[in-house]
Amino acid sequence: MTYLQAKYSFLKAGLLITMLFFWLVQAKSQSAEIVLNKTYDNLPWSVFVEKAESNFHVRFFYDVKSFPDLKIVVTKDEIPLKQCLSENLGKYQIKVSVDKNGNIFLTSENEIHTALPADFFKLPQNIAAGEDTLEKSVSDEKKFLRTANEFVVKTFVVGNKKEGVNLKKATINGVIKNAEDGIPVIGATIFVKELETGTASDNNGFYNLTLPKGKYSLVVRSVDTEEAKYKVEVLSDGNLDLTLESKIFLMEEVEIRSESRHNVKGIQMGYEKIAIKNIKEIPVVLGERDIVKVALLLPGVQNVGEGSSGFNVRGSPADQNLFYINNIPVYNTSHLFGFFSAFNPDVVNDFTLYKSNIPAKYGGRLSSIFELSAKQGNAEKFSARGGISPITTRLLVEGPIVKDKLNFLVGLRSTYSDWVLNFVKVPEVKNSSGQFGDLVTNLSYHINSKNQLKLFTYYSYDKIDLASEVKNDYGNAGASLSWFHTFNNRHDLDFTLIYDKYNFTEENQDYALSAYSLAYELKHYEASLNFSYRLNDKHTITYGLNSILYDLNNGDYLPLNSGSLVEPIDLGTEKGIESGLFVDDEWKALPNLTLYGGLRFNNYAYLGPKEVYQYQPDSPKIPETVIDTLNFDNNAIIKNYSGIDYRFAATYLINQDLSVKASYNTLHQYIFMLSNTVALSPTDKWKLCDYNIDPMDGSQVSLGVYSNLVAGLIEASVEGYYKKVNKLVEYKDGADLVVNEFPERDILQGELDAFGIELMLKKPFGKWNGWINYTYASANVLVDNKITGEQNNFGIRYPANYDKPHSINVVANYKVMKRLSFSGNLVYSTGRPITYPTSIYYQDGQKILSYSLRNEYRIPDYFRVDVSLTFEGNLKKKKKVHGSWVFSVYNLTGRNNAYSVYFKSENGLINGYKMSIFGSPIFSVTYDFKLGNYAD
Amino acid sequence: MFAIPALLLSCVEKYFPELDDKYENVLVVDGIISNNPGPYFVKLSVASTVNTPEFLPLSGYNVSIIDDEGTTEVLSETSPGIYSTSPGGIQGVVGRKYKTRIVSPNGKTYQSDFETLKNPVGIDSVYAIFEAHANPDGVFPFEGYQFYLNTKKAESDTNFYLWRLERSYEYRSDFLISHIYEGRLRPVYDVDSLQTCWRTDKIGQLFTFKTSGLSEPVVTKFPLNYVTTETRELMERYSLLVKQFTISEKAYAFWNEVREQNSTQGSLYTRQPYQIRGNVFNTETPGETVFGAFLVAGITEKRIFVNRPATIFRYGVCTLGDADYKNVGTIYMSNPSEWPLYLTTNLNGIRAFPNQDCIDCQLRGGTIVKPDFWIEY
Repeated sequence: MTYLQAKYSFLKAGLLITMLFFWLVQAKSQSAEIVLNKTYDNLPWSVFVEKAESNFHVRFFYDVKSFPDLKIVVTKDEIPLKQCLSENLGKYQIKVSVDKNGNIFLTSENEIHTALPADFFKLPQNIAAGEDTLEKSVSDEKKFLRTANEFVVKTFVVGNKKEGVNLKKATINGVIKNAEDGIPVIGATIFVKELETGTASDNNGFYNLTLPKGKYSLVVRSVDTEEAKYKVEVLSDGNLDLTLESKIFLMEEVEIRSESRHNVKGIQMGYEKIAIKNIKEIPVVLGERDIVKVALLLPGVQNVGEGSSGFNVRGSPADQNLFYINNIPVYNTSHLFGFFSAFNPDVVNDFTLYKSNIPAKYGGRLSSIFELSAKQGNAEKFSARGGISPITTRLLVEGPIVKDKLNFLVGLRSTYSDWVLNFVKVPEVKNSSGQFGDLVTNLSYHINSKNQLKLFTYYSYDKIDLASEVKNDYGNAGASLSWFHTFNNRHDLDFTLIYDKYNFTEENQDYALSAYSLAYELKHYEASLNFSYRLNDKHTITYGLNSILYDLNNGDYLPLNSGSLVEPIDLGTEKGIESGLFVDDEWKALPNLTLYGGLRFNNYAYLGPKEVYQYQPDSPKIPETVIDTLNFDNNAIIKNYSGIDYRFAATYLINQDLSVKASYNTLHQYIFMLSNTVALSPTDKWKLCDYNIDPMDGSQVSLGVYSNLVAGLIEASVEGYYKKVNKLVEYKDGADLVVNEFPERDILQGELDAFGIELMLKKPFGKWNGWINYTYASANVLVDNKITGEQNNFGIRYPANYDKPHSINVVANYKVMKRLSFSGNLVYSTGRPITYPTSIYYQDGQKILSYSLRNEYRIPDYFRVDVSLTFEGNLKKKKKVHGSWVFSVYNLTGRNNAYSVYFKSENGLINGYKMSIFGSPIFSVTYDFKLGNYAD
Repeated sequence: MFAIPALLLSCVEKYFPELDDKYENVLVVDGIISNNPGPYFVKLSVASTVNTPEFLPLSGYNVSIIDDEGTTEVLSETSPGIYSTSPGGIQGVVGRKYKTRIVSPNGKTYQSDFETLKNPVGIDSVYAIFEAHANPDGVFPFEGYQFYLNTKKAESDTNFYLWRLERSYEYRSDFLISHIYEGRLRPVYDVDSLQTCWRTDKIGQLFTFKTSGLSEPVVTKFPLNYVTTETRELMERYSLLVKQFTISEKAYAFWNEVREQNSTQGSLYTRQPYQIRGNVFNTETPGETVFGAFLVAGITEKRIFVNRPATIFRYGVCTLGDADYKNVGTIYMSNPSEWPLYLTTNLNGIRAFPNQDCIDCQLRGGTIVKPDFWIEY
């Protein structure tokens, strides 16, 4: 018996014991037949049920949705309950069954046999035996919504014998939904106990399973909901929608699971999935819960410093990640320079990070894909939630427009004042302001079981005014329209149209003589068509294509006022089309071997209108080497680049709890960020590869061992990788990129080498849960063009700005009581590299400070501990509003972690300074509310 | 500039990282040739550590200045590490090209590339405007003179400038001398002989600007230094000498980089610092780090004077306290090396022995000799 089997047997036993207990308790009190009197006459059905349940030990089970709206007629005094019900409900073809425990089942077709088989309460040797007997009593798609919270085992028959007579195998499919709001559950896993195989639901909650005909028990789990068990008898192909419930009083476990796909068995490596529900307790800065920042607690994800935007995944610069929120690419993912991410935590359902093997449907970035998926509107009822923190207020409203057909969600977050800034005595800060907000709308239309439409929009803005000297405004605005269509239970398509715009403006009067304004705009138009085809139970093929039109306006550099001597410069426009054609196949080659192969053909065309300079070949790109000026008409192809991405992966199961995975990926990237500062700034521009700047290409090979320990209670993994990026865009020392008509003259293309090993131990469930990980990583850059003789750092390899060799993250959650939970995390990493001043020398009597080679030294190591306490309001089922308080302390030890180290010449002395952003514990309180109860 | 949101909760503390001795033997070149009459100097030294800045001269090198017409002059080492052309030797001529060549005692050869001596653009005016500036640490804002500069119109559109400033100021000490002690106490009749001083220093702040991209090759209202009333600099009369260097693009790049790096704040949003190497390189191993530069420049100068502004000064003023009266006796126990010592008297004729810089202005860095260039108001 494996650990897994043992665990299920144990659970099963526990369940049976619980049922036995209820039976014993209730059996005592149930004896005499219940008799109704005239006082029950003429009561509306719901009142009748309430009265009966309160006066007698009975419980009614019926389908609320389909139950007729009726008034009970009691024909005579002292009528037995069952007789009365039969008289009243017979005309609706509703059958009445009463068991000896006082449970009353009202069903529209089959009567329920309420007596259990004699051997039911024996602990079965073989679990399936017990289930077979239950199957007789409940069949087909009967759903019983209960008036109490108890467990009901559901059994379903799929298909019919006639259709399946010549088949050995059958395919069942359907949608996994949340029982309460009808929202499809994404990434839910279905485990077929008997076969020890399974599948997961896709982005639309759709699943597909091919099984030999027979009887199975399915275990359906998801990060968001409770586990559900289904008994199924598969006779032929058919449809079966599954529901998952979130039950309040079963919520003893707070789940922290970053992988809903199976840690050991799934093909994915370097894959993390985090659901917002499960990071509720993670401590926050200034009361802003930030799901995306949780990524920094995962192995292989770094940034240059706290409060800075951008992520560095496995040694790659931040512009090598692609952020999607419901298919909309987000070109600036941060608010307020990166203190917060640009995603309202209420709106985000989960995010998925691919950092190892990236499925072939994704392209265009070398390092990782961050895929955020927004919540879908509640299909069943209106609901609202929100919260207030020291910085922002949040509100989310959702509900059906047409029940189960058309539903919406609107989520809004905004700063409400700059009062925090007023506490700061520095006039520059006091006179500053920072406002930001974001808005998400999600409309989904369930046309029928084969077609679904979704319209999603995303908007974010920042308005920053620094002491009236520098003003930065920036924002994203995007929309996606998706059509999901199922041809049949093997084949479906997802067609999406995407529009996105990122823009910023800057007004800078730091220096009156050269006060300027600057604007930038990037527009992204995309169409993508993805097909998924399940050839058989061994092959799942996806294929499709997408095409992106980039339309960039680098804006005008203009004098800000009459005193400015700035000469206006038109920085021009850029256009390019990036297209991809892909096909991949996930192949269960052997019971213990799964292979994945994908090909993606990329084509990128840089388009006119444009005037481009042609430089002497094999020479530095400087004004002196310009040999020609080429003029291109609108949409003329200036330069075309193409490349093939190879994506391979393999998972080999050594046993059910231990696997080895390997993957090899190649990728191409045609757009990058013009940035030579340590951290990304809101005036960094995205730039297309062009006539003079080559696309980047990268490859990564990963190898890992994955294991489930202690009956699946602990997931452990070790993953190593080596990554290489060619044509990495780097910059000449001191390059000014803010106003640059000829970026190619300041760009040097080099190479990046990164490798690392990531160790992860995770306890996803239980009163105590969390994870601990350790990463060793290295990332270094070489810029030494032997042909043109151009070099950075004199041709010596240097560590990347975010290279942090050692890092340890610990996340721990503890559910103290049902309504009180504690959470803490601990973060350690080696200090980031820095170029230190090393020498002083004199020029004409003046001291001059000189620096080391690039990134030759490191700032002090980083260490931080945060804690938070979450108090939930009462857990009553029937309540209008549920509230919760989060008390959080960031940087509990108050350590002055170095954000940066810098040197200034003051009164003839060189003084070194270390700046910390959060140099003391930061306490914050957040209040969240929502309509309904805790679980809604 | 983007550091400001970070200031919200930030704290800054002094910090000195531990560094190794990798950068202790780097050659530093500091030389110039200009249109001004010689002699010209090339100073050679090794770089010092950050914590103990000092001039560490390199002697015994063979240093020469070479022009593009074949003239070579070997400089003579006039004091350790300082190499000078002869008074009747090479003269900088606008339009010609110059370079330096340095050979170490063990035969290593360093040199710069030829650079053209640019026609110096004139200074139209230097002027001061009384301004208040924010004072982040104090109760009152700073007050004082902000100096500005206008250049004359240049001949070419693109010009590269480096400005260096020298300040001179007249100031007074707070007390008159009543007695002098040099082993024996005697009265002094020349009571204000040590009261007025003039002090001249180079200002350790660099200014650079380029006129490419401007509508007209003129720099107007270019902000130079700011002098506050928190010190004695403006208490009597202040003079600013502005040297305007018209230089090559390459030299501008060097000085502009140096200026930016030496005024960089600790933000993650500024360009990263990097090693700046000048225009002098080892001819055999060009990868060797050499600091400093040999500057070829067209120079013009302008001096202006400003008087004490009519405002409140906030520098510390000496007052006589009990201790100053009581301490008079201690002069008899003083060491001869401290002599002469001075006493002052209060309005009632009572002697006092205050801090000596309250009497002797020279102790505040100046001299009692009026400089030749000084023009009285």
